[in-house]
Amino acid sequence: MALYIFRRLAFFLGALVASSVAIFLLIRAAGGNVAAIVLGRDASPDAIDALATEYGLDRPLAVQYLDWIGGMLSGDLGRSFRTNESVTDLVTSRLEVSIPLALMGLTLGLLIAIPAGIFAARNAGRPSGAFVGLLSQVGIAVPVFWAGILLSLLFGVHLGWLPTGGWTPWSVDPVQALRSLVLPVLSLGTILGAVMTRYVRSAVLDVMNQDYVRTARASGMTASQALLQVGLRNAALPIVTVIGLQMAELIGGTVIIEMVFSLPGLARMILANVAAREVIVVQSTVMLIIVFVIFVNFLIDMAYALLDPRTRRGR
Amino acid sequence: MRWLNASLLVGLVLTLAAISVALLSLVWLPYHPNIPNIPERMLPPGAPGHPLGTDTLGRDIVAQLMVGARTSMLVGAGGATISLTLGTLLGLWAAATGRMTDEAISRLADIMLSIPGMVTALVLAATLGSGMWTTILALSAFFTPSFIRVSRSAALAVLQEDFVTAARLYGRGRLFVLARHVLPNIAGVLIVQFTLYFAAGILTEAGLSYLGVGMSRPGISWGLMLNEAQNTVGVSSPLALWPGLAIVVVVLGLNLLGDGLRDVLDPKLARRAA
Amino acid sequence: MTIRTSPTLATLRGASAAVALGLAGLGTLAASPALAQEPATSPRAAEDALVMVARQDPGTLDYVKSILTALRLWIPANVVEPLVYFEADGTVSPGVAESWEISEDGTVYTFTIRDAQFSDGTPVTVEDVVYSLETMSESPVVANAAAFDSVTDITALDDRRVQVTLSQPSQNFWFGMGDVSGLIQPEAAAGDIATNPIGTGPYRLVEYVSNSHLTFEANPNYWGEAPAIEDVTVRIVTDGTAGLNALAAGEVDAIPVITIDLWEQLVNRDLDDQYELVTYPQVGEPTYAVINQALDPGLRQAIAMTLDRQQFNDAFGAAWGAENTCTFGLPNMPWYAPESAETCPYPFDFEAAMAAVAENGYGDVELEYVSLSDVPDLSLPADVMVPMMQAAGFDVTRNAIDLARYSQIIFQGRPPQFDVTIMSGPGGATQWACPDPEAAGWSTYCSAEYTEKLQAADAATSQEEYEARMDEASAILREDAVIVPLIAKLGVGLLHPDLEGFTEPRVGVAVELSRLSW
Repeated sequence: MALYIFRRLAFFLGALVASSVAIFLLIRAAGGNVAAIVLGRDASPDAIDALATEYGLDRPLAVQYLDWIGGMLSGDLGRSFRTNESVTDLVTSRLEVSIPLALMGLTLGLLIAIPAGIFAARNAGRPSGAFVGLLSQVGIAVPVFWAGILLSLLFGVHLGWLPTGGWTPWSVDPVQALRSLVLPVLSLGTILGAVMTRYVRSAVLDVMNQDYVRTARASGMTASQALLQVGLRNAALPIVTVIGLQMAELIGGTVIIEMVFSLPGLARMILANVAAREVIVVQSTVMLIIVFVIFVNFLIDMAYALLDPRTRRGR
Repeated sequence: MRWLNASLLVGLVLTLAAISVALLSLVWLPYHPNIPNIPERMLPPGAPGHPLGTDTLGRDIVAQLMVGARTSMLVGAGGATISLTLGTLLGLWAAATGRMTDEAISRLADIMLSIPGMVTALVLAATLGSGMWTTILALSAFFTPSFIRVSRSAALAVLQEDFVTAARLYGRGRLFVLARHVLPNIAGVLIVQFTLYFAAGILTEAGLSYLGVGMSRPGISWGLMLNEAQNTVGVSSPLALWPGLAIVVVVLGLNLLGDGLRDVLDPKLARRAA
Repeated sequence: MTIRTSPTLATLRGASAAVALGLAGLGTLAASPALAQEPATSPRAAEDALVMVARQDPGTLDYVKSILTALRLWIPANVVEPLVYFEADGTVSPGVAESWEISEDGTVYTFTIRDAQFSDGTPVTVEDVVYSLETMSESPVVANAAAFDSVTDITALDDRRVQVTLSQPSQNFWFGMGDVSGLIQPEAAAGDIATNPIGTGPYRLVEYVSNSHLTFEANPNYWGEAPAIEDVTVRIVTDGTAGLNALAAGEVDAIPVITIDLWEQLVNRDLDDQYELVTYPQVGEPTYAVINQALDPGLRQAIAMTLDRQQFNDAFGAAWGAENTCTFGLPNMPWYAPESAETCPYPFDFEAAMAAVAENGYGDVELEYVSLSDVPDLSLPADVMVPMMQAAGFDVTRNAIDLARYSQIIFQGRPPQFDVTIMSGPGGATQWACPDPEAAGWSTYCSAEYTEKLQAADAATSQEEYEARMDEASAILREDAVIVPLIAKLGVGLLHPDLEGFTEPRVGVAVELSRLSW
């Protein structure tokens, strides 16, 4: 077990190093220069070089990389070149949008997927089960941003019930803030729910065919009782894994939904800073997201290792 | 009649329809999809000569949807093919060689899988610029690790079968075993995977183009059309309907096809992954 | 103010309503309830507050180093004042300088500095003025530094007077002192200029959160009359539709600058009837094609002939906010002229363009059309221009890149890497001055003749002479077919009808908040 944890930890660190190098090089390979953006189109190349030097962008790549990583390790995410704001502050101010959006989206997705998935599994082979399956297939085929556009047309433009976009900070008006999130969460959650329904369905189907459920049923429980009391506990693990797998989907969906509803979340911030070639802001923010995702995967691995004896022996 | 299930049939019909439209767009289009015709701008659906109307520059929607189908097919198939090829090669290599290589390739795949694609794409697009090839390249980068995983684990399973051991005992080389025994046996899984990632590629391309980091004019894609339609919300929303519908139909078709193929090619897997 | 809707638009609106009725299911989504009614009283009116929307994030507030409109809309005039103000009627009124004297030969300016305080409470000193002007004269932004081209000396005469000496009379210097070049800041606070610029204006900046908002409050130390509106918030909403939605929902009171890609939408949503629509040329910009000067003049002229200005204007669906023109400039400039037979050396003539391509083999020249991918104002004209060029027989490929890349290969590229591109920006004619072909800027345009005319205009001793020289310069620019203007866009804004006092900007493009009242 200790060896397994050690190996996962080593992987975790390796992944961080690899992705930090990748993102560092990627944004630099994009060409362009924040100094040129700041100074505008009529600035002389000399002035731009001078400003780039002031920003420390003329130093060797290795020095810039180590400087950045060193800062990250000591908890300093760096600062925006243009405004000198710290990345920590920038990110924190965006999380009030992105985290509620992602969490509520995921919750809604699960609230749809778990009952729908169980229903589809219970009714596998029947028209009702097939119908849920088809609904889920259609949901998977709908691009999340198109769902957003349609919902904003219907509830925002046509019915005028909810804002079609924009954001009111929680501190200004919490009710309005919540209202701004309704349509984004609805679009994100529904599509996520459709995707996860399939996973839940197959997890439950697997469990239903397991011996202990058959035994439970043989001992006089109804199918529902057996499923709820014995099966669901065992199906929970694969479902937790599914949530882990959906992390990428969830973050991707959040990114694009922020755009549809012009919410000032992390994605908009990244895009604006990529456009301005604010390399430090982009590197640090993207790394934060990657660290988060890898960390969640690590936690899920650990949970799996603890719960599933087969993993403990190592693969 | 095990192979003729509803999923396969419907999926096949939708996919073939999309491919036909894409092929047709190569030889015939009702109008030039890019040349503006300002006097006929923003025509409603049903206007004479323009069954689905025109956009803000008077370009025919049907013509653009047809070119969009071609783009989707090319990008989806391109991304899936490159990642299938690369992923299978790396996956087989990992499965067939020793611990070190296997470990290295598998961990690389794990790392790539744990990086959120959409976030990286925002940076990647700035690096590579927009356009069809860069979009295909980005998709390949996102999808290859999944193909590595799938082909590696499927190959490992086949390599443990008795007939492979027998072939090895006969002194057959590693390459021969891989080509002659392993590849044909994992082909079914790979075909299914290919179909599903074909669909995922179309969805991802639409998302990237919608964000403005995928296709750009003179290229036309459904995602780009939705991006352009966004500014006309409140003016003429049918522009935001058609490309979305097209995406749903094609992606649904490919996914159903994939599911149907799975039932036919790999019943064991079908039950597990449903 | 009501704007006449062009007949095409009215028909289109009717047509889209017809679609909505026809497509019962899907189409009903399209028909937004368009009721032309006055919006409710703004809740901000009672509090003497105001919330506005801006489309672009300035990124930095350092007006010395950044030329972005997103910054120049808010900081000059409101927070940081210039030495003098040029009024709309042509008179000059005092700013940081309470009076001034110009020597008879126009080469010595003596400014008497107002006895006032900056918003942080520190007194305005002559040292601050000298520092500000010297800093500006070294600005990396050409447009800021250009005003000081003829300046040889800036000195404090005593503790109230600053003297600026010029090598020759300069209209550019004098105009600059009423623009960004003449903004006065305290030397002590210069280090924080990027996030917290300080000045003597009627407002002080309370907070700037990038990509989110700017907030201003009345400056307690302001030398003039306190503004009627005490608190102003500028919300940054990059998505144009979301900005209009916020206005329609009553969340905000004004959008002082609405970019051309939204004009059609605002008309279709009847926002122009419900709100006060203001148009003003100062914030306007010419949209123009740039054809690399290295290309054959005949080829450049043939490309110019594929440009159907009416088509570009119609593409935006808002003829009321943009005028077809072949003159580089804005409608408030005396030498500006709308499109006409006299002022268009190469008018739209598709047949002639095709004939020229066929006759001279221009189709064999591979042309690269570089367009900005992330600016809708510029990608839409490119969507029109590229297929038209192709249809005329040019071998043109389009390369769509983002602003950073564009800066790298065009603005900073020497030589710039493009054959044809499209741009929109400030209307100043002096930006194309180029005394020496080696020093040609990003546009590749360089004409000794043009530059001489500009210099003659700068050294002019009367307004009439200045205008006459500028008029001649303008004609040379047109003839050369390198900078080819398409349309002149006006600044367009929507204000809550209860909001009064909006005036045209005096300092560059700055929206003067202190003039507004509920």
